[in-house]
Amino acid sequence: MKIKRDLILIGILISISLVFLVIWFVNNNDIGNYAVITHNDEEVVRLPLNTDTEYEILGDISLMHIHIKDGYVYVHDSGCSNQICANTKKTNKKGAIIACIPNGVIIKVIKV
Amino acid sequence: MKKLFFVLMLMISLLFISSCSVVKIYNDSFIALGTVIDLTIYDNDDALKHYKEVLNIMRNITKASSAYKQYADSSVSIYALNENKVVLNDNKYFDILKELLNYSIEIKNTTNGYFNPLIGSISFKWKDIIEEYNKTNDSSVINFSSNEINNYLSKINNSELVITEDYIELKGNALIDLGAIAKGYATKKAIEYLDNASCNKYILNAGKSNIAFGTKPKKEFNIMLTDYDTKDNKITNIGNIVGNNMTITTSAMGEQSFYYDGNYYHHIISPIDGYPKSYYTTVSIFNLDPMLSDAYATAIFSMDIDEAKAFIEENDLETILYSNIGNKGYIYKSIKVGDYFHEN
Repeated sequence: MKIKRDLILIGILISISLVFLVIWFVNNNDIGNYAVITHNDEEVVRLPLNTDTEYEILGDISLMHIHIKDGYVYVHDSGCSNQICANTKKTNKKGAIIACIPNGVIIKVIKV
Repeated sequence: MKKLFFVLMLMISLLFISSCSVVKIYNDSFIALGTVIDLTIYDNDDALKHYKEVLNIMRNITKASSAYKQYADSSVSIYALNENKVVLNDNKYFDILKELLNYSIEIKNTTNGYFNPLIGSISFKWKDIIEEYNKTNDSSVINFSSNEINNYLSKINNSELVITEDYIELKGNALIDLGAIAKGYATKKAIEYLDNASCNKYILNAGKSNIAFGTKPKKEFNIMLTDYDTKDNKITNIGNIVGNNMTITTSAMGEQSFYYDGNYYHHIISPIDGYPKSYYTTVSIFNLDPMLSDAYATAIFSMDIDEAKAFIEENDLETILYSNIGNKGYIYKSIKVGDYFHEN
């Protein structure tokens, strides 16, 4: 009888540990779930990374096309002169930033 | 049954304690000084206020130090000084500009001219060439002749800044470029504000090249130091910096560069001969006033290894020099670099 109770106890402890492990993993992996787009310090839109989207924004000097595909965000094209934003690799990492300085646009991956 | 009850109570208590110790994080980014500034503040009820104050400090410095744009509310700027040769003390940006230029002149002397705020006419032209080449891949844009460079160098050597309480005057035909110091100066001012406000759990990332941080709740900061190889378009992890209460400043060829016909062209120009040097691809300085380290990293970039080592020792700097170029690829670590650096 005692052994049975001990086994139940061990089972409960393992289950609780697994629940904590899942919670820890969900909270601590570095994959984001939204791309927040700001223009001149104002948040313009929040796009979920789990939905393929093509978003157009008029920056300070040109139009920009921001795409979300397969969970990643990237600048498809921009009319800026240096093209640093369009050459930045697609990302889904929490805290990652893609910026177009001439257009005053920041795209930031967050996790909510 | 009692035992089971006791264990369950213990687990619930642990869950309660762990939920109580959740760290509050405030993070936001803004554009200033031609880059993205990212600030994270931990466990601080006034985080938003501190963020806005840092934004304000850095935006004001942007307006005073910009050589490319005249802001509507600031007639006192590098842009105005380059255009009009004189600016008067008639608004709040004058004090910023005066202090920044005074520091610049001082650092020009301590670096034996390897940092020079009067480099503008040459650095602007090289920046245009780099931008044009990266857009077109056309080598004909590298049209900066040695005669033209020598002509600009002579203008630089025959120019000077006169700084008074009432006005700042640029005498001569040189142009001012504070790109090698403004971000460091702004970082210095921002962390001075945060320290005075007793906000010491933060990380401020000014365009990746100027990073300052206080303490991180629960664990230390871990910053990856990377190098960009412009020839092969490859990023290398040089090592990791692990610790709290540090500053990291890096000058690197980075993405503002290209490789053509055996030569590296980038935005860090030697004021001594007017050309970009390729002794190193990354120069990092740790735990120094960010303004000084910004200007020093730029200066060291144009020094050969013997000059660089002498300068580093003379100024007791914590420095890493890294080169990814061909067989010359190496890493040099000054004696002062501590256990916080974990080479990859």
